[in-house]
Amino acid sequence: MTRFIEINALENGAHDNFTTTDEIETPDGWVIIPDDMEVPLSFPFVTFHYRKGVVTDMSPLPIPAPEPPNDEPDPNEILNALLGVTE
Amino acid sequence: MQDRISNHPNRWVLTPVTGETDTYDFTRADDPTQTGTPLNKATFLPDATVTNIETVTGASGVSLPCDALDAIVNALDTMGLTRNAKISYGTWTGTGSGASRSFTFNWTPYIVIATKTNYAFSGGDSANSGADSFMWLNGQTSTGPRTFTLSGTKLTWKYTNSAYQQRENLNESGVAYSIIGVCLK
Repeated sequence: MTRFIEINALENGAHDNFTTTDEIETPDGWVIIPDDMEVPLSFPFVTFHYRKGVVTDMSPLPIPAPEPPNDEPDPNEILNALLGVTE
Repeated sequence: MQDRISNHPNRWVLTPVTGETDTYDFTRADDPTQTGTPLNKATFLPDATVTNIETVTGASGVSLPCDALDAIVNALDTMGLTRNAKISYGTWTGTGSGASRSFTFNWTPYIVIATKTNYAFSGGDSANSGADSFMWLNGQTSTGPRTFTLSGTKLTWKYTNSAYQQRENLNESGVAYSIIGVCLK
């Protein structure tokens, strides 16, 4: 199973990533993490170098504190959840 | 089919054609012990075989062996014998960022189950108990509060109205997720 990581970091510093059993070509802007590479516990908050489409080394980055919720849940949403009503 | 086996391979007798200049009849003189199967229409694609292929496959104009092979392959494909289903499996580690999340399969997904790894699958219809997983069937545009878009083989799910968007999008920072899809070519 191949593991991919996006080269460009997201706003919060994380790198999008995925593994798949499908045989796919490396998407543009992504590189492969070798199977035998140790991934830091901070993953996907990492910094890394790559060569010829493959990550050569990876280092941890500080994990940012989770952002507080954007807003309070809608009262109707809470009520529907409690009643098991689907929209 | 049988090979031609002879005591004198490639031996021929050349007989000058009467009245012609530099023109000869070739006659085999290889002394065969086994004449072998002749290489002609009757052995490569006899009329009876053409009729049989055209009757069974519905093809017409079968004339050459390649036509016959094409007709058979097309018939197999139409019957679905080469249209296989495939199970695709993948994982990701949540980034805690972004308004939606997606996963691209090789083939078109028809049934997809995604969940927080090592977490009980909870169906995905509730903003609370189902926040960390979902099951999607091809054609669905939403399951409860979560919307789905299938573009080619890429399935995108999105939840925008909750205070817990990243959880609903199966994209909490540092959290491991798994996805499995039943796909058709």
